[in-house]
Amino acid sequence: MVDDLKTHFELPAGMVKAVDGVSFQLAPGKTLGVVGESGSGKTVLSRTIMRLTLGGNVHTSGSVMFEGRDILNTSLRDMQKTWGLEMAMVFQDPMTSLNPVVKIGRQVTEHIRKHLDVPKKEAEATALQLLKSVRIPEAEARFSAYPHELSGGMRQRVSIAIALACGPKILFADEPTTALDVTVQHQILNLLSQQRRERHMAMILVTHDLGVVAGRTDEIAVMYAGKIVEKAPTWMLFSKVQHPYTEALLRSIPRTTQKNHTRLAAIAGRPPDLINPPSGCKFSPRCPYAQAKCHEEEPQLQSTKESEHAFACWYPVGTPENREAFEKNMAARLPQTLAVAEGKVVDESVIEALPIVGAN
Amino acid sequence: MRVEDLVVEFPAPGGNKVHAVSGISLDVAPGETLGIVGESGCGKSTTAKAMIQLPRPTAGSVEFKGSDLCQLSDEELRQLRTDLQMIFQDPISSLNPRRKIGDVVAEPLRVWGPEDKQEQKRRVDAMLDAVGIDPDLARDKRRHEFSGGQCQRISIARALVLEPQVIICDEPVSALDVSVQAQILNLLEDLKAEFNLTLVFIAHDLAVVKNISDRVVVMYLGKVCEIAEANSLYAKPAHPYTNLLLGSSPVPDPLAPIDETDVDVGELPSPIFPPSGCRFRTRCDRATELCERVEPEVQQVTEDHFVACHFPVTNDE
Repeated sequence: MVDDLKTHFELPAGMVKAVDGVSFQLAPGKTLGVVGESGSGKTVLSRTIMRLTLGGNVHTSGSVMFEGRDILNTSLRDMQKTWGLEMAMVFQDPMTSLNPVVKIGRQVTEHIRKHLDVPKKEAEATALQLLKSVRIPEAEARFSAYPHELSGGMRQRVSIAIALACGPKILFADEPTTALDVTVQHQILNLLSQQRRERHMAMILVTHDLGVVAGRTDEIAVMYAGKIVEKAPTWMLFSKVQHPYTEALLRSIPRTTQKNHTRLAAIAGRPPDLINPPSGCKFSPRCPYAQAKCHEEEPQLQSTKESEHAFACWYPVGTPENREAFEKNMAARLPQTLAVAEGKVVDESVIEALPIVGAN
Repeated sequence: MRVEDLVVEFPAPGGNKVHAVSGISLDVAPGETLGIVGESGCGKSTTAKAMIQLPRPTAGSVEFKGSDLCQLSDEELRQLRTDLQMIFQDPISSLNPRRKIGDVVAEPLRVWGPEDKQEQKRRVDAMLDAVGIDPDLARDKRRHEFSGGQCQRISIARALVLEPQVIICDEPVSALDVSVQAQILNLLEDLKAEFNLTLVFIAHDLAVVKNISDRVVVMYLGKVCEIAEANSLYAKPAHPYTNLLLGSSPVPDPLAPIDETDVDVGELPSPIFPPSGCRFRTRCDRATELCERVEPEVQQVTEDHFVACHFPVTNDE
């Protein structure tokens, strides 16, 4: 359980509020998808929870409770017992997460022996089983291969085998397939789903790709500028979008089911400066529905009556207020509204030069 | 442009060859957008670059404006370059970090004319405007002051400033955030209409390619698998590889079925030692002994749909 987690990096230019108040719960065996673009804070979030953000200039506050233990206040020495054993992580680039000078079989056994204290023969047998379970062909032969002798997809499978070796209760997969071809991505995601089901493991799947989370998660949290702007069970997020950013994202992705030359919705400008973020709602400068209140007061994440769908917006999608806001902005020919409505390119310099909308 | 039997091979250790492109033939009609899609190692980028002779292909012909580009001398080829431009995958490294943006976009004009500085500035400003960049704000800045999406738009402005006929777009949105991708795709559509362009668009993302293309070519390991009008290709794919690609692409819809059968556990074979016969056969669930012996030729399925397969997928499958 994560409560009001904040991770700020102190830089010469100022304090980067990479994660700025994130809260969520994850039940055993469930998968949470964390979706966001560059600068949303999704990677810093998973690393913070895993206690992988180290350095004198990192300020973390809030709490992370795992199995009743306060993770943020556990010493790094005591974390050694948790890392790998109870919490594991798979990273985006398998080439840099595997040791290039150690054979892959040994990278798996090393991991098993460190945490489970078993004799070498037993560890090797387990490692071989693991490599087979992640569908490495000719596992016996590949056992003594080096990472560079394997393809990207194979290396990622090895990384997953290592991550799963000690039967963790929760797996963080941070963009695990972004660097891979689409057919390999499909295989790896299937593998993760299958392993998750067999082991009744919880998983946090971090990605920028809404397609990846659509069919493989129980719940989705959409992040923007260090905060969760919308959180809902997966089917609810897609069928009843509430936050304008999520809506814009969904409408800007091309789909194979659309005809060719379909006009896509574009979002004006670009993700905000995390040192000096905009006042009020962080998405307001780019939001097609933005009104004066949005620039002044930051909306908090709140649930609807159904209590499973949370969002942070003063004029959520689908409400009459939202409709009115849209009409008003279209009439005023607001560039960010036109960007979404007509798919035009709207540069950040154009938005920054605008007076505050609705201030009349 | 008419490409025939294009071959691109690179030397590999031990006297071997990388068969990057092994006999590709395709047409690009004026004013169309031809998409080329495939996974890494299929030869799509190499094909596009070979089409504009960067570098010269090992064999084959590329007909453009009445000449075979492969047969032209370097100087004759150079004269045609104003009509053939390119934008690249990494928008940031496509721009010289030490030069001002105004100079970067003006450079092609400095090489090809007009001489008049005012006229050059006017054209540069017009192109920056066309891509949504304020020329007065951008002119004296350098690339580190711009985002990835803005850099890509600057590259597009640079490609347009000579008023080319054809622009090769080599994975122009792959390195960009999702919300920025849409901007660039829409922009390319608008510019194509405004400047009467012909585009060759290379990408690995099936949805992106479909969105922008009129016709699409699917490639695998240096060969053409299928060529069709965009909507027909995706509605009725004939090649098993196209089918596999479509079935593997994640769909942003929680109700979309996910194929969890392990139909494809394959790995991409080496382009140095590609499989005999049909190169896709090692990953194909309908491959037979025929596929191992005989390489399938490209055959016509319907009016604008071609496939290279001995056992193409039919309507009722």
